[in-house]
Amino acid sequence: MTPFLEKLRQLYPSDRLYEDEARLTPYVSDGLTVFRQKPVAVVMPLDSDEIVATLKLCHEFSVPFVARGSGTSLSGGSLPIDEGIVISLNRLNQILSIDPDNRTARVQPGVINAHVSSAVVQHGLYFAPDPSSQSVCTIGGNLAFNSGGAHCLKYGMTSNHVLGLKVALPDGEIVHLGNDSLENVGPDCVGLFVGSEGLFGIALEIQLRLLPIPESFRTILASYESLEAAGEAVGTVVASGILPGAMEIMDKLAIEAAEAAVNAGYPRNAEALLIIELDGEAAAVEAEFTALSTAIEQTQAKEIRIAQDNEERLLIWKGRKSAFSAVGRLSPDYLVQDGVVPRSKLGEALKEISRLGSEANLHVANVFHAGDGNLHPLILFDGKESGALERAENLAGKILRLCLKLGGSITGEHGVGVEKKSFMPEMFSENDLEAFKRIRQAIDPREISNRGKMLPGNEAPALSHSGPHPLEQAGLISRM
Amino acid sequence: MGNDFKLHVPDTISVLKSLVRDSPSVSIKARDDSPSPPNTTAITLAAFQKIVEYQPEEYTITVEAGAKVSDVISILAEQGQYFPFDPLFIDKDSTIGGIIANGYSGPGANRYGILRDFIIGLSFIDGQGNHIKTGGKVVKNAAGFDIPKLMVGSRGSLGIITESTFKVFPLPQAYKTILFRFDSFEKGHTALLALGRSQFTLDALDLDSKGTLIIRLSGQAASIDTRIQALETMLGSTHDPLSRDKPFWQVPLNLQSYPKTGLLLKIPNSPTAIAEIDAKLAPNCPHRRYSIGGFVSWIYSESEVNDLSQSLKELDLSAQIASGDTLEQVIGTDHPKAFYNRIKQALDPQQKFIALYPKTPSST
Amino acid sequence: MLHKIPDTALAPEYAGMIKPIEACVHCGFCLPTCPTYSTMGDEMNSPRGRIFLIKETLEGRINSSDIEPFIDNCLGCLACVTSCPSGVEYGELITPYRDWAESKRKRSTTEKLQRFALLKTIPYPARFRAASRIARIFKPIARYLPKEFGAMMELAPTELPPKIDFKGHYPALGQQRGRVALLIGCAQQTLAPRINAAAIRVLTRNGIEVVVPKSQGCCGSLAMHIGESQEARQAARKNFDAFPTDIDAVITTAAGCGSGMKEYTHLFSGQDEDQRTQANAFSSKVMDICEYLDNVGFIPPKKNESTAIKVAYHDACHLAHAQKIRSAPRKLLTSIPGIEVLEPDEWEICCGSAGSYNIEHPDTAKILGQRKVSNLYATGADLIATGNIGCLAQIEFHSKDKKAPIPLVHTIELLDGEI
Ligand SMILES: Cc1cc2nc3c(=O)[nH]c(=O)nc-3n(C[C@H](O)[C@H](O)[C@H](O)COP(=O)(O)OP(=O)(O)OC[C@H]3O[C@@H](n4cnc5c(N)ncnc54)[C@H](O)[C@@H]3O)c2cc1C
Ligand SMILES: Cc1cc2nc3c(=O)[nH]c(=O)nc-3n(C[C@H](O)[C@H](O)[C@H](O)COP(=O)(O)OP(=O)(O)OC[C@H]3O[C@@H](n4cnc5c(N)ncnc54)[C@H](O)[C@@H]3O)c2cc1C
Ligand code: SF4
Ligand code: SF4
Repeated sequence: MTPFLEKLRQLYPSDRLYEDEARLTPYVSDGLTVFRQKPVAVVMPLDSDEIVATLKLCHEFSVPFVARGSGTSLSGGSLPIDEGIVISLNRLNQILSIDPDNRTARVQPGVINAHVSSAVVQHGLYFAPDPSSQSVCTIGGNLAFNSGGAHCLKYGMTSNHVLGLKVALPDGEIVHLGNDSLENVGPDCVGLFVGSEGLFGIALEIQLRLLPIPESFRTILASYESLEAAGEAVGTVVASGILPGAMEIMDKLAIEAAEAAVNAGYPRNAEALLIIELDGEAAAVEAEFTALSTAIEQTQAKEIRIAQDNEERLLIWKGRKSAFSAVGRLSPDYLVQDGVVPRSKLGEALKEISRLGSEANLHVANVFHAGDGNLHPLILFDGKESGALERAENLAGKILRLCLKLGGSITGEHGVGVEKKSFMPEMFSENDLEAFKRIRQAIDPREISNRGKMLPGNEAPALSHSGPHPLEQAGLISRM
Repeated sequence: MGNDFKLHVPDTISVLKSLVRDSPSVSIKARDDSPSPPNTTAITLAAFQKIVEYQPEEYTITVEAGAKVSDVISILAEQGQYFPFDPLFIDKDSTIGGIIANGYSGPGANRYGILRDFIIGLSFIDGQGNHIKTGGKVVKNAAGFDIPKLMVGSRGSLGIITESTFKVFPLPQAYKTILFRFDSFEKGHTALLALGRSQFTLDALDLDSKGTLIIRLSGQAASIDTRIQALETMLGSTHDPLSRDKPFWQVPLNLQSYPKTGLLLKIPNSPTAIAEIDAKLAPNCPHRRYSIGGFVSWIYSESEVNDLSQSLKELDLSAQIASGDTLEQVIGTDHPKAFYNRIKQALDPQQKFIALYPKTPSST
Repeated sequence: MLHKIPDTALAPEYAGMIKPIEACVHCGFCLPTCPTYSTMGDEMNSPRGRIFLIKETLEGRINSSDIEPFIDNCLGCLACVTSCPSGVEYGELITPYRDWAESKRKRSTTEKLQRFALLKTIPYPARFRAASRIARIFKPIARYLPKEFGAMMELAPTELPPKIDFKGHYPALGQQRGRVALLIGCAQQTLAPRINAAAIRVLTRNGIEVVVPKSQGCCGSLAMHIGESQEARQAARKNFDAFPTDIDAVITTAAGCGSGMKEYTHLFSGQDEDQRTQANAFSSKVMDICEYLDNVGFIPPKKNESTAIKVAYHDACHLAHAQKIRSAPRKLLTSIPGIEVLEPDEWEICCGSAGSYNIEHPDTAKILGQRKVSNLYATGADLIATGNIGCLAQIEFHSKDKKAPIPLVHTIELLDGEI
């Protein structure tokens, strides 16, 4: 490690290379704080050249690295790697160019998602992927995790909004993928890179697709007597042939938390809340609204409210987007799961989750992307209670298996990271995983890029889910 | 075509796997009029035509790769659903595997996205005869690498697609296709750019080389005429209806209508680049069509492949050859080649499948 | 967030630090609004990072001396509280922590002198006036002085307005609607006595009787926010005695003082019962001038003609974040015919004044000051209004090389109708 660090010191001045305890400590976890790992160093590059030089060094010395945006990953994606370095991209936060006629923007990876939209609003444009964390998470992180949000139902995930990439592969080679177009020639390499969880190197520049801001919105809140009733209402709306921009569900606990955080004006007595938004040309939205109202009338909605102005609409979304963090008000600790089930099985899944929760004697809050069956059960626990974390993790595992049993996936948007990689063999065969690994090795023969994430095996000293890891027992690594 | 290949028709995955394992070179031939490299084991997936899973309420469909696209479209239509990416150039023989491998999307993709945006799961046989399943069957899934997308446009160079899952949408209640004719190409191009930036949500927005905009709107029947009026107000001109407006209106760009002597190119580009492309390619390219909001150009050219490739390089563009009597796959710039070669090495180390880029270094 | 701070580690006055640590879920929503994170981009200079570092320090994993620079960099602007969905009261962590760590701290002599100079001048009007005169002399050589002093001299006002001696009592005009006591503040009294004069005019014209206790002193906020709780409590106790209790509210026109006095409950949390009761009683009466006027129902000044004027309103951190007062000043301003309120970009980001921050951390304060000024100027306003003297001074300082400086006023001056 020492010769590597010496070379690293030649690359970075000391105020951009952290090696001391106090400056390494805040980097030990991402949004999933149950895992922590101290890196040997953190570097803060200012440009692509520094990144490339850093990767070449890492490659030369086989030192693993993880790129870090805002560290909001909920699956341990930006958790440091043992004996590895963290490459913090927060100073690469420039929007390089905006091209309103072609509806594109070229950005550095450390640009915050919401900053893209605010920079192009003057042109009547916006960046569609809207993860709840959009006020803080970076485009680089969105790209690595193919992040989604409420409005992905109609507009797709990050992958559908990235046109081109300049990438530094893990050995420092620079490649250009994609172009200025929605279309492509040859295999969709951008599509492969997006969602690769940082295993293919570091995106240096990203060509984003922008959309014109819809002319008109209609945001509807419908409250229900039960979570299942809300889940079934989603089915009714979908069957009516309307394609809303977003369809979200929040349960009582989530409503309570969000209300406490932002006073969004949700009906407080509802067991479940369905938020539906229509967007598009004014005339089209009005016509869809009529059809939607008919559809909702067939459901057992207790109360229906419609946002009266843009301010109310924004508040509704602010409440929804604060919900994860706001749950921190209800419980000192929680785990968020991200499984997906077929839409027609939503009701069944929610019922079973609630049963599993009571069985484990743990509260589960639900706030999720109902339109595409992407659940977000938040398992509440108090880490001070001995065994509580284990019980919560156990319940999380059962929920993931439930999603698989119903024909779904272990993750819709938060990624596998370290958290769910032990579940990969339950979703993919050995053969499939082996193919993933071959692709990984073709791009990163030394497996230094975010080593130990997503792909099971090759555990190195990564953390495992089931019981304390040997290194943990030895006190070398720890979970909070 | 006079090709006297023996066409293999495997009927199980394991036969298909052994065919790949046992042959030094393999090509997929879904139709007999498409060119095949010589001396390969030619395979058709005619025995793989099943609809594996279709639950309309899920808005997803899983089909085998040999299934005919036209059959799948009718099955979807019976349930009031459709492929929003608007499959392009399909006749009765076109297969699901073929449209994925070619990766073409029609003008209707302007609204919700192209083929790669709707493919959520895919199984394939790699160059070593492994059967690999990737993606999933639910509309949202972030587990594992996104191989389904990678296979779009791969032209059979990375593996044989055996099965795929798509996300589909509800058919709009009503639609209408209209034309706006402008005096010049420039004026049409300016209008295309303005519409692209506008708040109109158009199913299709195409421009032809004479400066005519071809537009399709869809949605609730009650709103369409009002929206057309709004379009007329914005463009300051009146529309012509398109008389042959039948279900799944296809872009009037039919492969059969062009002589096989020339080349049909798909060029991805930015909408503003169209002006330059049109000016540069007009002399030898009698048919030019700018599709999907101006993000892709369809050019029918009578130039030599090498000359065309050179012209494209000068524009910093690349193109996929969609039809024509050549084995060349991709011409113009080749920026992703280095990355592609690494993937190719991983999935087809013995180079059994065709190479997309000429002179791909042989395996080491 | 889970922590392993031993139960026995904290004395009662510090026990309140646990709650914000537990409430933090490490989501990072606070990052973009934190002025130090948004200028430096590193985790230890973010609220999430600081909370984590404090947790580690209290757990005994790191020495408090190792995290000093990052704690010192914090402006205490509390933007992180506004942006936190999880309800983390960061102020209830950082203030006691600073006090907790101060006792373990070794400071250099210049640093000690500077802190001493600050603590012993700003809160004392007479000394502050004298010091300003001295500073004026040193100004030309400010850049040759040690950094800590240089900034102090550079920022010191060149000219002080004439002193105003306030009377002890101002009767309400017209029908009486209330009775309040006014904290005239220390620095403000020296730098801009016109603000309190305007406040008294507005209040009395609104039917409010105003008492200005003669023996009042500094509220102690400055000391409290730099980790000198002892000093702060002393100042507070003096005012408990000086202020009458038969009043509806203790009014302040300085956001920093208002927020500090509202925190007395925490400042006195480890003290004996009597003091705690006294602190709670006093604290519960503290109101910002705008908050109070909005509460009683503001009667706008009568004007013959209304000229259209565009006012960019700058949210002082200690008003907007610490006291969560954002709508009252806007409501009051727009009730005056002709006034249109403009909103600058990045309202939530501190101007860099933050108590004595611009003196202790001149570099960051300068970046923030310039950024704030450019956002305010970008609105194209005719006038800039804010509710805090520190912000006024900082914005004025960083707009001094503007060709056409936009006039700068305290909100109450506009409500006075004299402008
Ligand atoms: C409260 C909360 C709400 C959330 N809501 C959502 C939601 O609605 N939808 C959703 O999808 N996610 C959500 N997330 C998860 C998270 O915000 C996203 O995964 C986000 O995209 C991560 O961005 P980041 O900048 O924080 O990345 P980080 O956590 O810093 O990094 C994430 C991964 O990206 C990699 N990476 C970062 N930059 C690059 C680069 N330039 N090149 C290659 N790899 C890179 C890292 O190595 C790491 O593996 C939420 C998280 C929180 C805490
Ligand atoms: C009359 C007519 C003539 C045409 N001529 C041509 C032509 O000459 N060249 C051309 O490219 N397109 C041609 N097309 C267009 C093409 O056939 C369509 O785009 C069609 O949708 C592709 O599907 P297919 O099943 O016909 O595949 P094919 O045309 O047989 O194959 C297209 C490409 O996809 C690959 N492929 C097919 N199936 C798989 C699979 N399961 N796994 C992996 N790769 C696969 C093939 O190797 C080939 O590279 C023609 C279309 C028509 C109507
Ligand atoms: S926003 Fe609140 S909960 Fe989230 S990291 Fe910041 S302080 Fe912690
Ligand atoms: S108080 Fe201000 S400077 Fe300090 S951490 Fe919070 S936002 Fe940052």
